[in-house]
Amino acid sequence: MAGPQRSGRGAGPQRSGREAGPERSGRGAGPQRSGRGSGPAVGTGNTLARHTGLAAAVVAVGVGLSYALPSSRLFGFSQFVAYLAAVAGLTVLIGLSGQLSIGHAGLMAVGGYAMALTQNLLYDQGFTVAPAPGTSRVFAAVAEPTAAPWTLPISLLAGVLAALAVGGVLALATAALRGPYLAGLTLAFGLVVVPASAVISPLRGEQGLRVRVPRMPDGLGPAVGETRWRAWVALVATAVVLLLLANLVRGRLGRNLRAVRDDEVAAALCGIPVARTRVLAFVVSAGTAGMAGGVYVYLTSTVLPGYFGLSLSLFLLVAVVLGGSGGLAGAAWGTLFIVAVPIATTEVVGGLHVGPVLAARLAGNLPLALLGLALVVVALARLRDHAAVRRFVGRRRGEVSEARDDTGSARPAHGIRQ
Amino acid sequence: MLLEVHGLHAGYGGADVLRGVDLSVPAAAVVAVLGANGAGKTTLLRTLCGLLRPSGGTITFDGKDLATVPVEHRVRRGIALVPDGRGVVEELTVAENLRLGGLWRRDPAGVRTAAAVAEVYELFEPLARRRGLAAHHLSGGERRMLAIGRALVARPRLLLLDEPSLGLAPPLVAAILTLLPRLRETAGLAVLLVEQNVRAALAIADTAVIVTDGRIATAGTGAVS
Amino acid sequence: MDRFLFLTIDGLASGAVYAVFALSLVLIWRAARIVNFAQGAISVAAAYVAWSVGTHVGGWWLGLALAPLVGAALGVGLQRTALRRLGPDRHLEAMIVALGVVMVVQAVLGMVYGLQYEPMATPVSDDVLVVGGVSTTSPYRLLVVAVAASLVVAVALLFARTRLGLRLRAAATAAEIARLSGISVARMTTIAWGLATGLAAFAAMLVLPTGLGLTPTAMDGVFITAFTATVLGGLDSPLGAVLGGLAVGLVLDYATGYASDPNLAPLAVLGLLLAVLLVRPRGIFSPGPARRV
Repeated sequence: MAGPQRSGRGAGPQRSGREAGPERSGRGAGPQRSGRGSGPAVGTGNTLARHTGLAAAVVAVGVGLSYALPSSRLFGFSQFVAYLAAVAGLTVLIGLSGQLSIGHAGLMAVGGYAMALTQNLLYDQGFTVAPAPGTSRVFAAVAEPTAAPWTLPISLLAGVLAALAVGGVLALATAALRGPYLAGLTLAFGLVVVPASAVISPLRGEQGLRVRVPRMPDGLGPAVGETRWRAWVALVATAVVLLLLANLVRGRLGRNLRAVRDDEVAAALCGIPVARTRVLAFVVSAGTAGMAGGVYVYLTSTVLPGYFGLSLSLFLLVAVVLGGSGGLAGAAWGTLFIVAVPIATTEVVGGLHVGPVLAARLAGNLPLALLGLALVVVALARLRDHAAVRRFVGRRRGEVSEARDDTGSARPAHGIRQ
Repeated sequence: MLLEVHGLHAGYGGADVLRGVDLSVPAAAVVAVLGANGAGKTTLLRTLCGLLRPSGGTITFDGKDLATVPVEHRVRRGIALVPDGRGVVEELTVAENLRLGGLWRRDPAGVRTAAAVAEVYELFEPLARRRGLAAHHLSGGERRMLAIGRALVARPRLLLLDEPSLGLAPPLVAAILTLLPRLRETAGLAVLLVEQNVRAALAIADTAVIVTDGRIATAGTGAVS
Repeated sequence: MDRFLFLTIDGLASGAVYAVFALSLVLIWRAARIVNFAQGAISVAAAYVAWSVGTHVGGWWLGLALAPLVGAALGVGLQRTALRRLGPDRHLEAMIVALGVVMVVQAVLGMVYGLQYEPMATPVSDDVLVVGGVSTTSPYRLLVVAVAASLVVAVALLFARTRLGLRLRAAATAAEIARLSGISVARMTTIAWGLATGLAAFAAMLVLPTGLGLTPTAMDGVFITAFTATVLGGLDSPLGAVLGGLAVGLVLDYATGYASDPNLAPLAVLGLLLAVLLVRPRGIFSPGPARRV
């Protein structure tokens, strides 16, 4: 939001509607913007450098963790890293932009499938490398060529672009509407993944696709190992996503989003293009989901529609809300929660002495129940605090609005006078 | 006295608009409430009908303390408000809007309400002609009549009128305002009339009070020079 | 032509269920300005309870009477415990809480009953009647249409002709005037919730025997289809919900019927929803411009 130290930008006709012109890309690029009060006196060039440093540090910490963790946990760690990208983008959407998406797993699916198809296409076109002789491989007898390493960034990018495009369509359909429309549309979209995979024959339906991802470069050897290498790739991909997100949030888009979220009318009067801002927020979050989906497919070398069902969309939502819908740090905690709870419940249930049927039912459903309960409790607890704060600060304290009645109800308080 | 108000404080967001209002309204009297914008006239009415919770002072109606009575129960006690602005339910027809006024009665056959509605149709002939029409089709004057009519169907003892003349043409204003003394005679109705149109208000009021800065500054008869 | 007639009647039969469910969504929208994303989960939970009881005694008919009571109880419970605390403008948060409820309800159902499909038997035959060489519809579908039509008429009469209906309408559209008229808006909101979730449970009992059966996620598709119908008809419009439900039922039946692929249904719903949002988001019967709030 345009705070007091930035009042020069907030007021008046010089804030024309040409916000998203090429010279104002909002990605925090370039020191020439520092003179326009776009940040604290240090200017945006330093912000970018600082964020890049942080991202590099995060990758370094991740690499360290990949050695510190037992190898049985490596896949869970990679899963956490992949999901984090999606959760971070969704946090920006829900927390900063106030829009709800219940279909982000569907956008991950778009990214995942696009990545898979691109990867396989490149492989089939012959962009491969033969496995080096003498390297120790489990399936050395099957000396298949593996995809060339540079195919991976391309296929991941394809995933991101596909998700951006689909996200754009969804966002544009509801751009001018407030209320449940986007939530409903994303729900409808999320429910389409499994049937679409069956209907669109190259996607091979429920059996999914095997994806020809590049294997670890030969030089690294057993000290790293395939799984760990893939975790590192995931780290870098997610770090790039987080870096871009952080810059966006610090830059113009972030400010516009906060302004729109806090007071849409005032923001519009300041010349902020409200609908376009909200579309951008959704598209950005779709892009992060696309990357997350592509990375997940890379980690598993397969894409199955069942990965990306409604449950995952809801889990992502839980991660955002539990993390406080606030910053990236919260997103990390939330993601950790949604990855850890299923693992933990599986182990707990395995330790119980119940019959196999009941054990399967419990293991399958307990995470959903726990996370749903957490969602309800946290949402109610946090929001009651918000409501209490609002009431205290300047809302109509004397007004006997519906919400404050002892009889209570969730009704608009018609009595409020402006 | 029908209504006794002592030391009433009320306001919004921590700032009191009413700062110690003292007021007495007898039964069957028309009291004009005058004053500048923002002085607290509307706030006073909204506090009396229960939409605003007072932060201090007492309200006694018919000898009983009113301050803790929720707004939903005040119509039963005999207090009806005609708000300024949106006073009708747009989606409902004229007839349904009027019936709203009588819903508080435990009157299964609706006989008393029907009788009251019939009286309103006699008072406001345009409403009678449009009884099946949805309220959002009515003109501004007709909506004002409908809002007043709904309050009258409740057969209140105290009618709170918030700027009934606002936005209406003078003949209509006169028609509505001259109703009030008639209702005082026929129904024993007490009226608290908030009005910007001082001359018109004083022409029909028995007494007048002036609200200044959240208090009643003067009270007197309606003698107008 | 035969196929067209069959699909049309079939489409109206499934459309009747969507109409009832869509009507239930509109009731809550008008009363509380939210779309209850937990409506499907509540209705399927009610159906599970009704089915459990019905397999022992009373069959589907008892279930049909029992499910709405359970559904209403769950809806009122949700509104009074969780949603009331949120206050009037917390639409985003109300949706989030509802989604949490969906997770918990579906998970608990999965733990208690398992995820397998439990077939629900129709009380009368679901075999297609062939009249004069033309495939028409089954006795069960006719029953569905009859029950659905009765429900819609009953609700319409309740709102238009009764004192309670007048109170409900006033409370939904003009809360302050309602309160000034002695109406407890809080109580009316709760009644509206109970009515709506009860209706949704009715719809579940009608539609579930025609599909694969009971499973915790069985009403997800119905929810989103009914949501599409309310967008088509206008969220504020009960008549729009009913007509929208019928229209959507028809469109879906044509889309999946001619192509003979049930997988097309969710895709068709998405396509239809996108189309409505792009072309006429305020809906066909909505009285005002698309709400910006």
